[in-house]
Amino acid sequence: MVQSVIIDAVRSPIGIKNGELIGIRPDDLSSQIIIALLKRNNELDPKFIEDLIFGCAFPEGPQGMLISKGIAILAGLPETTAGSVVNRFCGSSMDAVHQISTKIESGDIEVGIAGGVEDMFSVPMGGFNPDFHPDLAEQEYYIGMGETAERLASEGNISRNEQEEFAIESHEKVLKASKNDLFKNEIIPIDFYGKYIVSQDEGPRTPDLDKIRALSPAFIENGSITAATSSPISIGSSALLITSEGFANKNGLKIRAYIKGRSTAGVDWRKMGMGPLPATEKVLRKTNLSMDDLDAIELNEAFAAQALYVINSGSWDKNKINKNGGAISLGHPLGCSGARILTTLLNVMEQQNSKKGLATMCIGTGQGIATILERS
Amino acid sequence: MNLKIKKVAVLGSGVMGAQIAGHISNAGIKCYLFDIDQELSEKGKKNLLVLKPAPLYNPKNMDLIIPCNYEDHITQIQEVDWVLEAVIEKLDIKLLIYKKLLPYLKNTAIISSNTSGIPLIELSNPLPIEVQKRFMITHFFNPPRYMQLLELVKGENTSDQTYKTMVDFGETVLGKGIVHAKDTPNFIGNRIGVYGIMIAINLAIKNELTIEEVDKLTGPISGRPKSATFRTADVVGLDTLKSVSLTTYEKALSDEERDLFQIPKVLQQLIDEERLGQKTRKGFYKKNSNGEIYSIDFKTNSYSALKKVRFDCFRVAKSYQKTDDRIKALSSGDDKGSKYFWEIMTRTLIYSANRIPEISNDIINIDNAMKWGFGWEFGPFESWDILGVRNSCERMTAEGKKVPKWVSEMLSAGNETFYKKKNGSLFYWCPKEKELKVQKNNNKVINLILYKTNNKTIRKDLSASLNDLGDGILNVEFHSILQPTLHPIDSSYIEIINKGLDLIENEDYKAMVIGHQGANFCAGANLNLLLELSINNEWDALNFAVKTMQDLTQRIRFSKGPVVAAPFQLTLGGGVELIQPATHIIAASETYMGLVEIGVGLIPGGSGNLRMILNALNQTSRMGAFQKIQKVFETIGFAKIATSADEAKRLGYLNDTDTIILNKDHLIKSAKIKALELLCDYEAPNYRRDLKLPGKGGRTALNIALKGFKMSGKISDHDLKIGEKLAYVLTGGDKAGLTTSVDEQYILDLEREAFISLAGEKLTQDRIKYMLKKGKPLRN
Repeated sequence: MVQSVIIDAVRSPIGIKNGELIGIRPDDLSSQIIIALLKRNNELDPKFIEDLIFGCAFPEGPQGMLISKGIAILAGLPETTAGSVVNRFCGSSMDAVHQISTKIESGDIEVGIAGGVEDMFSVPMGGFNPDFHPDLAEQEYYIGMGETAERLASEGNISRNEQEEFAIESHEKVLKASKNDLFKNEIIPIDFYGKYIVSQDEGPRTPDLDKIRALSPAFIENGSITAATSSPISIGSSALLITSEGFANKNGLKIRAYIKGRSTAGVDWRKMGMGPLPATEKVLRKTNLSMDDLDAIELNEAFAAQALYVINSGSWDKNKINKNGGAISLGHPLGCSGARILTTLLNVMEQQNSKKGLATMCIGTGQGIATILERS
Repeated sequence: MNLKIKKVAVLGSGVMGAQIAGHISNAGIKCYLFDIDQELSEKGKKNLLVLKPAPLYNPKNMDLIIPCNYEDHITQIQEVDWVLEAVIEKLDIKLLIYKKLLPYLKNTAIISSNTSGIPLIELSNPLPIEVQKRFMITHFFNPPRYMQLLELVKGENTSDQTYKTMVDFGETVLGKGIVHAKDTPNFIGNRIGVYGIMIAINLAIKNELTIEEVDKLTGPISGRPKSATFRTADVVGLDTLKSVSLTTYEKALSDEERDLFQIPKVLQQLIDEERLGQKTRKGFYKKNSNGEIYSIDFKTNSYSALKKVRFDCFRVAKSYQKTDDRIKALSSGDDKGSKYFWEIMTRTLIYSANRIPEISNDIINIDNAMKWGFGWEFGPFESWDILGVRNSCERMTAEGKKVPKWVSEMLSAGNETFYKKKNGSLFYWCPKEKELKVQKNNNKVINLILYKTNNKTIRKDLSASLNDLGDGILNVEFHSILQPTLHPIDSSYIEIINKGLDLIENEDYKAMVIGHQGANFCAGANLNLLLELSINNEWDALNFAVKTMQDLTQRIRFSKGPVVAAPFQLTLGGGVELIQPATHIIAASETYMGLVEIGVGLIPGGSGNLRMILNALNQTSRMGAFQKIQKVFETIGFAKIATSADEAKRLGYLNDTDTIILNKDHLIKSAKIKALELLCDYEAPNYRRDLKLPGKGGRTALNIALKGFKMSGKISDHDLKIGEKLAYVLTGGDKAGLTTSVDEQYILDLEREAFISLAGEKLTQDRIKYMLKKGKPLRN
């Protein structure tokens, strides 16, 4: 059987409100990281890249018009490179990785790039022209994400205090990783139209305890979730270069990891944050692994309450999770996050010389998605 | 010829300098804001976003203000046409700064000082004679955006061109009321204003009145601002009050009331104890942590809870609607309050009269200064006319007061009043020439009160009139008999506007200006009537009333000739609905506009929803129909009131093409000119059948957002219900959707139905009752 492998993975810094990345077009942002990805791997002739699949949760406005093909052109890829956009909300770019990986393993292609982008500032969540089905609304299909997390918090008995501790830890881990240059290999500095360069994530900050404790609940009166324990609105882009093992070996490309397992699963959309549980169970079953076999886990932090629900319910080992912090601190640019956590997972695994790692995330509308990577 | 002022430098970035720079930016003019170091000027600029009330119409105006320091940026002075100096009140420092900038000053540039305490002659004398010609005093009042008064003082050598340039610039570009002052201590406003405060304090102590009693008598009941005497002092700052008062004491040596400007023991003690008023959170008043307000007791200088004020004269005065009747009532009683009121009033009148010709040659500038700078509804001489000059002088004489000679001369010459309005002009008594003189005509102003004395009213109803502005232009003027400051809509507005539109229809007239010169444009519908119909279940009558209003607004929109509306100050609810259909709107920059029906449990019913939809859809922006409607939904749903006409544009109450002018006295004339301009080839707009609204799918999205607000405790159950009705109207009911269009009348019908159904809700009726009783919204 053909095995798909990751040759390299990069991402942009993640920008937040009032930050310096606001105002850059999502296609311009993405083309810069693709150019850098190819430059880092110049032993690969771009003519071999057959497909560019990008995830995006709200592919309209500046993210519309089949943004992946536009990115390919802006990045100078040959016209022979095809392009497709995939939407699985928060799981979009992880799905893009799955698609490239599957295409390679089925023998359809040999080389592809999978990534994702989201500019939550230029395209609002919900899109420009939401048009909701009344029956689905009746069934709470359009339920607010904050509300789903509140349900998990109360069902899982997760206190505001625990959530705040989790959030503070997320910031502290990111700050420490950043200080120790642990993001250096994954972040591509972004040129803002010749005016300045952005090379740092904008979300992380030293937590101000008094401020955090004084915040009012963001979604439900007397609720437990605040702005400090939710992932902030953000902008970012991430991409992975994926080939078949044979192609890599033939062309002298260094393999960073093998894509060992892929899964998606559905759950109650009113509790969408629990999605990683069945998705992980599925991917472990398919790869004949158990949680104990994993050395590193990237669990996307949509909300502190949601991540804690998954960790507590699955009895996951906290010490393996999000070693370099997560979305509470960095931000969760929807369509970018799947590729972003895979990129970070890859680096964490290299930093601690892990063998096997899991990246998983919850998805609005009630889904989970998971990927298992392995290093030789 | 006047100099054109395109760029300005303001020296000194303290509270006053920065705010003046802010107001210059409000007029769209670039301004360098200087201070001794960069940090200070940057701080002064940043402060503009913090100060309350907001000095800027739009935070974006910050872009026009460039912080500078004298060391690095002095050459920028070369670019400016006007340098306004607002540095610390020390002569040597001011002169030093003048010296520094003189080498860079354009040879046409005007330089002026905002000083209030230093004589012009001392500032001007050391300057080269060439520069003296372009030097004068421009004295703004705090806060400069909101205070209309700008006192101008001409020096001996100031050229006419310099002075006239500043008069026009101040009046037209900055929107100020110009008062021509002389080079005397504290000019006009502060000279008389501070006298008024000092006499009030001194007599209150002597006659044993409490602070709250004084403020009750010297507040809105007598045509003075809500802050009355002691709250005003607290807002100004007691240290500032002291220094202004001492300027008069120290410099106006021949002032017959000079001793009164010494600092009373009570005041000095407060200052010594850092009880300086608002800035130290305690002064004459103090607010406790629980929100209760306390005032000081003059005997002990300690705070105690406010006591209920009971004066017979106040009770009688309150039974009148108009301030002139109230002033008469307050001064003619025989209780303690009335005696006090009479005493401070008449002494202020005598003091003002004695200041002629010292601080002004005429009475008009004195009256204007007090109206524009201290918020008095009537200046001293206007008040005196209200009291009755002859009667009051007799009473004063009997009490041993010395009536100024020129006032007696006026009476003996057979003139019973200081002012006379006739044949479209204002005549006023000139003490110097001992005769009535006519006020010079300002060609930018149509003063309706004067204008109408020339028999220009075509039709007069209880609360509205139809005036002939000449050149075929009609004016609809509001003068509510129900509430003479808020001007709520009543049936006579509707009748008069319809009558005006008839005249245009018949081609007797060509165009119409809706505007007047009261305190506020229109605070909305007549809630009393609405409540009465709702409580009595008179739905047909209510439907008829709402339909009549809707039809009127559509008639304005499709009138044969152009209609120009001229709003200012409070323009709420139905007031907004009356102006929005106009062909063009000329708004005063200080217009506070909002569709605030949610506050009384309703949604707009007189076409406000349709107007907001049309404004939003007409706007060229990147937003799609859903986003545009979502923005309207939030604007109406949260009853947003624009804090300036500029914000009213941003909120979509006004269109981008509407005009904003800074001087509200220019509104009627500007609107008339605009109407004449529009007449050329005028065609009414097309009836819209192509309104593309989000329909049910978009409404579902809005309703989910509403439920989110409910869940997070931002809105109540009743708000949710109102919100859903609002969403129904704005998204185009059941007919609209991504593939269908609706027309104007359909929206009006949806709106009317929603309005009437809400009027039947008990919780809505509770909100209306509460508003009528307490003047603020009930949250239920």
